[in-house]
Amino acid sequence: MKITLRGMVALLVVLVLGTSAKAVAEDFYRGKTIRFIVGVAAGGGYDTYARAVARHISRHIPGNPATVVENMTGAGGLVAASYLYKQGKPDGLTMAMFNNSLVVQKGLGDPRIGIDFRKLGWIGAPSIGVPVCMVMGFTGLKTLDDVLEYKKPLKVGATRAGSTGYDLPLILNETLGTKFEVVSGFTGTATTRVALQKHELEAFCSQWESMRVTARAMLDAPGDDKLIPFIVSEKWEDPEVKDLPLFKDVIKDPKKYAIYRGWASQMDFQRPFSVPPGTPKDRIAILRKGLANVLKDPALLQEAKKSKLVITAVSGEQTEKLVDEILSMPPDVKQSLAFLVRKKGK
Amino acid sequence: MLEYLYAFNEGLIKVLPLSTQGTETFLFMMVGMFIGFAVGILPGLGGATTLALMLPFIYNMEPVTAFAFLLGSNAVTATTGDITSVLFGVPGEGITAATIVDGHPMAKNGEAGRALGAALMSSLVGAVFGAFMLALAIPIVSPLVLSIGSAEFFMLALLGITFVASLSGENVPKGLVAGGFGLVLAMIGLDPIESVPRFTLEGILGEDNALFLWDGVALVSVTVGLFAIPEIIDLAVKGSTIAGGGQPSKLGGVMEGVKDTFRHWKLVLRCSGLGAYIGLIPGMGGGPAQWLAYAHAVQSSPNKERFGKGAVEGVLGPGAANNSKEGGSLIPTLAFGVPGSLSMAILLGAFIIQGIVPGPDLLNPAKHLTLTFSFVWIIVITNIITVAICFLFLNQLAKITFVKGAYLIPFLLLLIYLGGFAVKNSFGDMMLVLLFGTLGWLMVKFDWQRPPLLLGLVLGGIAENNLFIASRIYGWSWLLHPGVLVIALITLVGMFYPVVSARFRRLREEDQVRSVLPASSVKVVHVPITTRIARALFALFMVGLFAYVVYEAKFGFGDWEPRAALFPWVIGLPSFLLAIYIFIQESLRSIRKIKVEELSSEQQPEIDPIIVRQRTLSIASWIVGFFVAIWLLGFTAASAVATFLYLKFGAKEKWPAAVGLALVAWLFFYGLFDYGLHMPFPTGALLEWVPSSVAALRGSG
Repeated sequence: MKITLRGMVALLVVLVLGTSAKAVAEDFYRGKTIRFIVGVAAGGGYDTYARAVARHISRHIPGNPATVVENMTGAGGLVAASYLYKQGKPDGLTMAMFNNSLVVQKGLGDPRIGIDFRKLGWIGAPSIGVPVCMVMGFTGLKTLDDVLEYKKPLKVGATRAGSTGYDLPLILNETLGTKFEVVSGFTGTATTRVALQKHELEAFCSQWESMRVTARAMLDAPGDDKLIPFIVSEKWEDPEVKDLPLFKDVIKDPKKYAIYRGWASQMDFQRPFSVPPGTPKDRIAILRKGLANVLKDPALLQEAKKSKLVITAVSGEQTEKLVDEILSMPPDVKQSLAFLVRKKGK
Repeated sequence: MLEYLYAFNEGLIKVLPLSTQGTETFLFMMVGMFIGFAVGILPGLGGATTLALMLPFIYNMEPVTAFAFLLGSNAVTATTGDITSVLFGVPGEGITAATIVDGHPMAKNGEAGRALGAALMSSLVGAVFGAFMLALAIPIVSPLVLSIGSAEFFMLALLGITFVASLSGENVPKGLVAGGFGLVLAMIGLDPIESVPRFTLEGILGEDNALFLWDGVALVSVTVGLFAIPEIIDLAVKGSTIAGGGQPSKLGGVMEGVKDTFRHWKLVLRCSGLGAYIGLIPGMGGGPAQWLAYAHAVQSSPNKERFGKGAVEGVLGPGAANNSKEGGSLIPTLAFGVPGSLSMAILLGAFIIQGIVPGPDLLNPAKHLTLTFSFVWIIVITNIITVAICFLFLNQLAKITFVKGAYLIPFLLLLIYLGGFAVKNSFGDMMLVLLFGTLGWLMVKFDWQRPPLLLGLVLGGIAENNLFIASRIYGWSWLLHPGVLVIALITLVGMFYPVVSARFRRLREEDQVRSVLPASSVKVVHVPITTRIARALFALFMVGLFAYVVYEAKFGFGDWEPRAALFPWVIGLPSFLLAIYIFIQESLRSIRKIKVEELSSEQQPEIDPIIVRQRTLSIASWIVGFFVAIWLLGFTAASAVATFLYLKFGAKEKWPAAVGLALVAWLFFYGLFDYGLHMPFPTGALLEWVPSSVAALRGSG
């Protein structure tokens, strides 16, 4: 019923507009619907990006297909990724967005992730991640040097293993000799922030592109309650982080830097879109072009600006390259990062 | 002070149709309310998902209008969700489930009107209370929220867990085991500390399907299964109407419910306060408020045995808490940018779109305080309008309980499966509904209380996380925090006060009662040997379950990650021992006491046990059948086909009724969910096989 109805609508469109059929692949999308599968719940940052792209991409794909967003939550995105890999139809109409820390976990040899990420078609990503570490004013610490010289352990909050808040402090302990003590079990970034405000926690590592918005009140707070960034991954125009030391400059030992890089390469393509293995090349090309163009679309950019979403387009080719890079991590780096991988029972 | 009053007043003016801008705001509030109304009534449509769909519309709205639109929708879902809970025993929203426990039995006693009146009126009182709490809290909000650290958080969860005992009914050990079961359910999934999968059943489900359990079991699927399925079985076995064939008790019942609200005004206010307080704690979520309020209603009542059978206090408590929570949970969202729930997370997104930074600015009279106060008024106004509109239709709604059960059953079955499916858009939760449905039915049959299980489920995770965080941050010194000591004191008083006061009352009234009441209010019934075996087997199932928990905690994941095993161990072992005790009790006991209410002799005549068995088997197969139909045909087609088959062959209805209702079901599912809301319904398995096998045949031919 649904198909015939859509078919009729499509027929009508063709008749009224009198458009002639173009190349086969391009015509393929006419009257079709692209499904966006989002690996997290509706309403979060991931979902907002996916929905913004889904709302506008139709104009940038020949045939102007309809789009529908579907949240398939579970296991930190693994449910959605497994679905895409094992059950997703390779028809160019199914696209998923899930947390790419799964790729890192797989690269590090997590036995629970049964997905060959190289086989997925990578369409590109709308943003990058900018890891940052921050300390509360009441600790009396202000700069990276203060933190490095601090003798006592600094309590840093996190949700769970695999999140920036958990992984990054441990990596800094390994590479810079900081003394972070990770307290995990918080239900989200937001509750972690409250624990900082209660002075239960002393420091926090997260991603600047979201902190600059969601932690704005704390960044602007005076004295003890101020959240002070002290190290970041790249130059960014906000005054709080503009002149901060960068991870890549501070971690001088190349071996140790390789450890950091092994983890941080996932930040270069955040919230990526992918399609199931075996999706025809020409359709992947159309989708890649569509995503690249929608991320330049003024309508989307204006919405993104209002929602304070930072758009940094990463091409499909670049995403594919980065995925491959993570999966072919050198054994010694893999070894050094082994502490990040979930253990498996007997 | 004056500037606060000014902002308070200004906030009201902004949402009333007194100016062009105000009119627009008011109209959008109405649209939002209408959406929220539908979302609340229909199980399966989550408030959060709906808000996410509404979000893109606010890009070009004024801030007040945008929030009137979103908050208007959000504020009414809890109220209208109560309606479905009371009428059908199916929670309209995950957060309205506690209303079922006593609301639905009231409907079954022919008091649907009274229950609805009580639910709506207490909701209104709760909402207004919560909103004004929000208004009053604004000047002191920061210290208020920051006073609750991880240690206090844990103590609050513990306080809630001690309510299990008072929810246990006549058999406290059984209640404790049910509560333990709930706590174990809360442990399913990746543990909060080391991300170790606990009880995810890889061995049984396979690695891929076990992923489904990594996030734990959803409250919605458990409550829908536990409460709705036994009700549907009951309805089919009775073979009459929800109200049991009785006559509508003069629909003045609605006013009676309203009066009940004021008759128990102390309880309603206490539960409103409780809801608002829980709401303002960041990270507590929607589930605990209503269940704690329910537990409090039971605990504070002098005669607990009325609960679960249609006690109006059991409706008033959760009704009030559910709605007062909304005002409360806005506090952390506004002041700290910490969303208390998914809906609040989306509202937070809306703040950002509107260029408003959550935090002190929203509480500052010079900045956005007017906007904040307009939120208070939006909550108040939308709730008043919703309740007023509901009252207009309430008498009609209550009549649904006098509609032939067979006509309702197919719709209820479709809706509960839809409710399960919508949790994660997956079949997994539909299976959980079925599984917990079976469990719920057995629990009713063998006199196990279900509320302790849910209380355990909603509080288990909170308790474990915060105990861990508190001891990680403070060592053991958190035990001496002033907040911790105060809550510990409240817990002790809460545990012992009812016991002591009940004893005193008994001593005082003993003489009079003896002479007035006939001694036969307790009836002794002999348990037939077959039931005894079944009861013992069910207890044995519980023993086995906790044996598995203890085994896993010791030799399974606990073997290589002892930290993740601590909580399972602490909960599992005592529950295991108690379960053994119950097993022995159930195997040996041949008689049991049943408290008989004075009115119960007037209730429906007993149905022949053979017919009961036939009807139970029949409805059980239809329940499974609907699941299979949805799997094979997809939701839309199954809605028509299964409804038709059930009505024609299950309920033996005439052709016009069967065809007509099947058409209604199809229109409803196709028109609303598929076409209108683009629910991602999977294609039926059959519809995937047939074309592919036809293609394969053609290929080979």
